[in-house]
Amino acid sequence: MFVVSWISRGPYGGLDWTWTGENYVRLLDSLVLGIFLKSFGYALGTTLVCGLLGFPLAYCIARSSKSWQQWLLILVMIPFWTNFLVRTYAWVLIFRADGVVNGFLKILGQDPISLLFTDFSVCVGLVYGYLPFMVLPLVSALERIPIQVEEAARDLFATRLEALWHVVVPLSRPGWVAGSVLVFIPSLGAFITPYLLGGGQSLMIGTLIQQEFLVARDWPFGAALSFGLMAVILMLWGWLGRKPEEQSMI
Amino acid sequence: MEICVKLDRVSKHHGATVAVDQVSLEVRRGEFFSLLGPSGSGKTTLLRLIAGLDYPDKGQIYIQQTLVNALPPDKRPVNLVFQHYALFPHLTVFDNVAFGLKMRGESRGKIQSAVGNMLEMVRLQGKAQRFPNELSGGEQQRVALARALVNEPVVVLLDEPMAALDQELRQNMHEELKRLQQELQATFICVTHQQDEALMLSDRLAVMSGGSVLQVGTPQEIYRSPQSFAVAKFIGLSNFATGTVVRMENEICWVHREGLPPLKFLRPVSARASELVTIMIRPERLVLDAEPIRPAYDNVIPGTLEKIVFNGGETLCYVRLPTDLTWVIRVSNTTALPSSLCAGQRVHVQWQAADGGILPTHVSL
Repeated sequence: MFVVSWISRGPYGGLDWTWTGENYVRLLDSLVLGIFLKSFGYALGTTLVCGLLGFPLAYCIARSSKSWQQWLLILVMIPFWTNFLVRTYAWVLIFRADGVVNGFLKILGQDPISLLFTDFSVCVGLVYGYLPFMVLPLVSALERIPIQVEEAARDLFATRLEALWHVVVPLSRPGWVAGSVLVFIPSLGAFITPYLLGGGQSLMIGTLIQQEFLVARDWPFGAALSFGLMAVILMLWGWLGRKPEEQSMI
Repeated sequence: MEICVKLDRVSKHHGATVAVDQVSLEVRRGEFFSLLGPSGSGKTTLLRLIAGLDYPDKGQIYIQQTLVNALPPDKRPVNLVFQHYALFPHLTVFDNVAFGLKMRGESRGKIQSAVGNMLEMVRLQGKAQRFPNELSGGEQQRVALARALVNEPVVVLLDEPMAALDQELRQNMHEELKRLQQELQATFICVTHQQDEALMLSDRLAVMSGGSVLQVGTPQEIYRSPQSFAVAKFIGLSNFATGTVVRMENEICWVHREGLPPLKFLRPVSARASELVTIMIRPERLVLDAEPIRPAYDNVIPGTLEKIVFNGGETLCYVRLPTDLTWVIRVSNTTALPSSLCAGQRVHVQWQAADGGILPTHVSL
């Protein structure tokens, strides 16, 4: 792949073995950069929403009794038993013009709304697909926080929310980091979800790579895109992995 | 004297088991009050009820005359020192101690000076910027104390404060705890299962068992005149025997036990003739000698010296009495044990009427 990314595309989509850096120059094209940025935005948004939804869920699971915990974790994992493509396609059925949501609105006497092939539908699909990857590391991080530490915060005049914010959230940091990486990276490169739920409207970097390989048959550029994505991810990884400055609370 | 915390017939169930059963207590301002009992006696639950980390099923809890039954922990003017300290591992010593003040919305200046003073008081000035995992066990405990005390709570609650410390450190912390309590004139309620700790530190203590309070009193009262077999058995070492009250005469009553001569005791108010009772004598109140020393002692029982155990400052002598009871006698090593005594020898156990006690009986010994 790396070698392919440094050669030219043949006239009919094959490989022409002349060395060139042109594929990487094309990455800086405003259209490509725009798609990169957009994918970035989607991935960031997905990670944030997964965090916001995942934390309460993970907290409830981590603080429930052992027997409940098992069942709740199974519920989180049940969707994995089905193919990802099928699950994403289920959202198409829910969102499309004559889908479940609009059917429901019709019963209520409301006008139908267009949901499929919007930013919203892509985001829902991405969050739905990657939420468990946020929840599971958070559960294991939250489980390691002794309940007494939380009680100590409550005893020291913190309300329930303040105790969560000042004690539980910072102490579950390893879970946040792992969960964010696990959600951010696959959603940055996602291609099924934006393809099925975003249609032509929301081209993401993953979809672009897939198209370069399979539709446009421009393997060298597709390869260059892949390595560009990988470089970005590695840089982010390095940035997340560095030890944060310990800072005083007041 | 002003009452700081008042519990009125408080009960708490954990599922089907009764953790706290109809407990009524009053803790006075400025006193060191201990809840003493074996594990599972409900003392920690009682502490959590006062802190607001659990809510009572029945009964009322008052803090400074205010009913606090439904108040959440952050609205109660009490602070708890947790058994394993529960320090915030992501915060420095300074921020740990400042947490309560910060949550209460105190000004930066006030927090700086109050935390500074408190760290000085617990001798941790140099460690303000350390993290809890960089401290020794004793230092962590002082941070936990400072974190509670800095808020100047109406009551400081301590849950087994010494449990996680080794023996030597424990001695130092006893003094430290008492010093802090007296310097700050704070009210402490301390849960412990260590009777020596409770006896040494407390102004008053409550002995608990099975979710109930058995007796409340000063350490002297509890040790010298326990009111039940359970308290006598739990606090210190005691010799027991069951018997029947046979005769009462003014302040004196005689108790009969098969195989022993009539035993003379001071008459408790509640005693009734022919009542079944348990007699109790502390080992240090008994005198051991080869021959009876009459008329110096009111009660004399013959027996066989079974075993002599040297224990540093004292010697424990185990004597088998005619009724198949084995009693222990504590002989201080300041006065040498009569050198003639050796295991297997016939001896006499003797004591004054005032040195024994009579308890309502629940057991047969």
